[in-house]
Amino acid sequence: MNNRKAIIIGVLLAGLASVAWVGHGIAVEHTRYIMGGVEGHVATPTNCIPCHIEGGKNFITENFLDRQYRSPIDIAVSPDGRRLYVTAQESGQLLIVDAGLGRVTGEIPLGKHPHSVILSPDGKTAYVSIQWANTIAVIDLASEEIISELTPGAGPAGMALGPDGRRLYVANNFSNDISVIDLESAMEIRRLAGGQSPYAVALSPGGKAIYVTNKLTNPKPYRTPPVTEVTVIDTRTLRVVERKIFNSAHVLESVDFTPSGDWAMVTLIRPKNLLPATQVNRGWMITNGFGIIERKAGGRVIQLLLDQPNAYYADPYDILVTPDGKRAFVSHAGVDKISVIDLDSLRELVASASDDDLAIYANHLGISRRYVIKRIPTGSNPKGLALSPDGQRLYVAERLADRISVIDVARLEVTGVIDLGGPEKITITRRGRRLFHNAGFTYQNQYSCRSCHPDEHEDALVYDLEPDGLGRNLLNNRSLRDIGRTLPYKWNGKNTSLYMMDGIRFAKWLTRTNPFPPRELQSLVAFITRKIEQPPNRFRSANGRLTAAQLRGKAIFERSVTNSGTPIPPKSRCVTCHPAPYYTDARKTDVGTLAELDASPQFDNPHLVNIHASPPYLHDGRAQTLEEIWTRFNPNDQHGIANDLTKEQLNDLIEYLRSL
Amino acid sequence: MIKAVDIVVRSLVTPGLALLLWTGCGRALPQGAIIFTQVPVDEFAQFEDDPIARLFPSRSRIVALKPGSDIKILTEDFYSARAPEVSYDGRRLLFSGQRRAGDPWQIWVMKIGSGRALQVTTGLVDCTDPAYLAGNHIIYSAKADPYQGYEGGEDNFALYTCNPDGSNLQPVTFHPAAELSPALLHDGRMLYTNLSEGEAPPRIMSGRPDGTDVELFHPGSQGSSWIGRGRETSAGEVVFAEDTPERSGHGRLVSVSMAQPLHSRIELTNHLEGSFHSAFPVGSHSLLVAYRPADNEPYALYEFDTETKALGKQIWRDPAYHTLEPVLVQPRPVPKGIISRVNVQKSTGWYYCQNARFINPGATRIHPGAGKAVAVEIRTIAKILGVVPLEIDGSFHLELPGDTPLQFTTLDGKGRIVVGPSDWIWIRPFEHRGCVGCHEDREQAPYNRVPLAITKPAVTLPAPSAMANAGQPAAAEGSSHE
Repeated sequence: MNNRKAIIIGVLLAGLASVAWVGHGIAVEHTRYIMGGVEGHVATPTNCIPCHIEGGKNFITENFLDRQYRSPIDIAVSPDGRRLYVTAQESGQLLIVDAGLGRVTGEIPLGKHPHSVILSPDGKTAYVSIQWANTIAVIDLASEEIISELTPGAGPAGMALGPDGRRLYVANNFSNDISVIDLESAMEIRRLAGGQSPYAVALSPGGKAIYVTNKLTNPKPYRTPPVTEVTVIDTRTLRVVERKIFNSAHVLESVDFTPSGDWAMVTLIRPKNLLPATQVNRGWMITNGFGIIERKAGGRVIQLLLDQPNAYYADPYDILVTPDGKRAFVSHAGVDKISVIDLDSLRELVASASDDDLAIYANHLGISRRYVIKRIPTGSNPKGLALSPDGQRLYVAERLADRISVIDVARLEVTGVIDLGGPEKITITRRGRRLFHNAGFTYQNQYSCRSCHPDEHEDALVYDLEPDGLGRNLLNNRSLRDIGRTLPYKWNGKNTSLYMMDGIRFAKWLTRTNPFPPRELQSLVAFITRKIEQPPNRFRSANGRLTAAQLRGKAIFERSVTNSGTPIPPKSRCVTCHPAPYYTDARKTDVGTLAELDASPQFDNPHLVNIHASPPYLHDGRAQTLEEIWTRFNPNDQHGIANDLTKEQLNDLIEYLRSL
Repeated sequence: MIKAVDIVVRSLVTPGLALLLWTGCGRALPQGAIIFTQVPVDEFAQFEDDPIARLFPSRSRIVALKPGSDIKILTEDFYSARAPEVSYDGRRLLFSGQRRAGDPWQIWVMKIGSGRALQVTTGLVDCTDPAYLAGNHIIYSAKADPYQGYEGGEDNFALYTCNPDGSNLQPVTFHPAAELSPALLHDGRMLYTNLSEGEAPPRIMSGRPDGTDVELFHPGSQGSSWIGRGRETSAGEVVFAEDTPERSGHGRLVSVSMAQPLHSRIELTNHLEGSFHSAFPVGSHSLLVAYRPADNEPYALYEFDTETKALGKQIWRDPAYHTLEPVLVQPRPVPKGIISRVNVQKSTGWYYCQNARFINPGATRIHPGAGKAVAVEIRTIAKILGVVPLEIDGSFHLELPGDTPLQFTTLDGKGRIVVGPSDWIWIRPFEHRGCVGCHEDREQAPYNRVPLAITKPAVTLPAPSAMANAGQPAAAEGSSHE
């Protein structure tokens, strides 16, 4: 009997061992395939949990493993300095913080993606932009209740009150315009054309002008540097009176004025996208800095760096000038630091600089030693800044630490931290989000994933990244929204998974450090796959029904005969390569866009969800608009048969594409 | 199946062998012990003024000083040894040494305290100054192989990297000079000293450990003849010893900031009599230093504070030996790893210049005619590779032989030299490199505009048609990449 038991147990163990042996082999092969066959950089094949449980969209993850983080992004301080009002982007709340007690005392639910918060001059009312709901919540701070909602354009972000407090200026980040709302009637009285992706708003001292920064470049000739504007509005006439252009810069995410109002200061990034990505050191990929608009006749638009030759300060986000005009603070979301700028030194430098000098300084990594006096470390992903009314304390929204840090302005040291009550556990997607927004894995911290993918989207630039020569295979940057569901990746479709996309080749050609270790790579992929969502499509009606023009465009998108009745072969129909739900068949096609220095004519068929938000178009960004794809770059009908379309029909087709 | 068996055998046998080797004899030194080189006083005097000869002293030895104890000789089996370097986990010791008098100096590794050294390099040339890279790979300096057409002088040393067992040996620098004293910065770059022939003072260079992106880190002082190994502190400074120009062989300590090494030089010891030889960081502002108060004294081991610039207490002194090159036995943070794009299967790399006529305002006095350049001449040590016309915007784009010392000279319309020749540079195989211009400030980032030259195929040098006519200037032709 004992022998029999032993034999059975032995057979069972042998069977288990065989299954484990075979399973292990399959797991290894599976991992190798997912990782792109790169040995030495595979995830531990026996550990399926990070990818399939923690990083997957499943019941266990969504109900047991996920956590609701706060993610504070903006702060307003009450006039008496006793309360902080903090927008919590992920939890969709306005948090009320007792600055003295250092804890959250109230939470007001708002909606998806609250962005900025400002207070009325008497401190009784808060205005909070809710970016994905296209509304402004008006909150009575005594009762802590929403008392009304204002309706600006799409994707409201930064706001400012006019000089008399009766008008609200709102940067509509998605609709590329600026709303002027009369607060008494709660009506939008003016819609002004902004630049691309308007973001931050500030009222000048004296109240004569509103300045609005923009994140993305204005339309420009192909293969030329970005030209990003600050839109200047006259508060009396409510008209745009000037568009100050920052050449070779973009991602202008904040604006503040010196107390005298002689300078407007903005944060910015200076990309090197037109150069082949040969090296990182000495600022050959991205430099990070700020801009000054001299507010006088003949005033200059000045750009200066915050980087140093061997130390980069990625993703400058907010800028704040102290009430005495002596210092400016800049939050660097990518390196968890606050730069402190001595404005007296800066004025001395600017006053003595000729235009030629300034042109050099804009690209000079050594110049920051003339005005940056300190770098203050913070928690993860510092974003919005606010000063106490007496100017003695600086509050920093540490977005991915769920905290507010408190900095003593005189000592320039962190003196306290306010916990906003986020979960203690750091989930795999939270870790991935932190990695995405941090430049720590890039050579000398020069840039984060977010530097080229602001809002986890894209920066509208074309890059020369390819490893097979200089000036070859130019790549139009692509949005990361929905990318987890639309493999393969890269314009040549060579990467079959995000693990492969962000693995060893990513390190070799982009970050230039060692590849992400398996756990970090799994975290990053889990975040990109699960947590990057599409914002609402402003071209689609609330009930989801298409307009008449969109319906006509849909018919053209799906048509099988030309206007003359000639049958269109399936391969030349839009819908064949771009089928729902993501409007890609995940294949490659030659659409006749091979450039002289491209290696192959076959390009990935991109997904088309929210395609209206991703100009320029085609693999190398040569088409500035959707229309140009067919009016300029489809002479032989290789990119779908479309040359028979009338102008009206093309308009309808574009209307439909915008609704996807 | 064979692979699986191989893995099983390896997984069982290798750790056993390794355990046997590493625990063979002796006891590991405690954390906090100090290891240093001892060079006989009479021996040191012979080469004090010769920066190359001082790398290979006779009868020197490496010893360990345990806290509160006497020294222990770690290199009993060696005729001479020096340049100790401790691994990032604080458990292994790299050094250069010769078993017998007359042997070539080689690189060795031992588990600290084991007393048993394993030979890493097995060449016939002298090797010295080893250091650990991330991943426990090793970098060291050795007598250089001849470059194309250039046998090199006696003092021609290059840097080499290899695996921990000495395999995958690769030269990574190709400068006709002495490249010495490599060290690793926290951001993963290597730092090393460049001693060129002639009057040029020694310099500190930096670059990626595969020999790409090499650039000047700190220029050193005019008149100086030697710079010791630079080491980065946890406070973001690099400290090194340097000869004083006034008296060769008499060193001072210098620190520069990592963030801006070209413009942050602080001389730490000018207020002190005596000489400093070497330094090792033990805290954000504390150093172990080799120092002697007078010429007739041996170097001894002291503490030093970089903030107060104060010499601390004496830790060890031996009247018969100079006490040099201290290192601390303790784990240190591993620097960032840096992935390499070099492909040694290829023979060429690519180089482009945004604008050879570009000149920073501060440099106009030095190169007043830089704007007249219309072409660039590229040469190796042995020959001119070719002359390439500049594009209208001053750019050029070249495919060049890899791992070869190269010089650039800009020429005017009559073929006369405008500026140059440049310092020697090299391109690693498959390296892609750009520069802003021929006369740019070393803190200058590039302009974001498309250089005309990269809208066309690279010009290959030497031109294929000229390869058969070695020694003659080549006619440049366009080439496409693979």
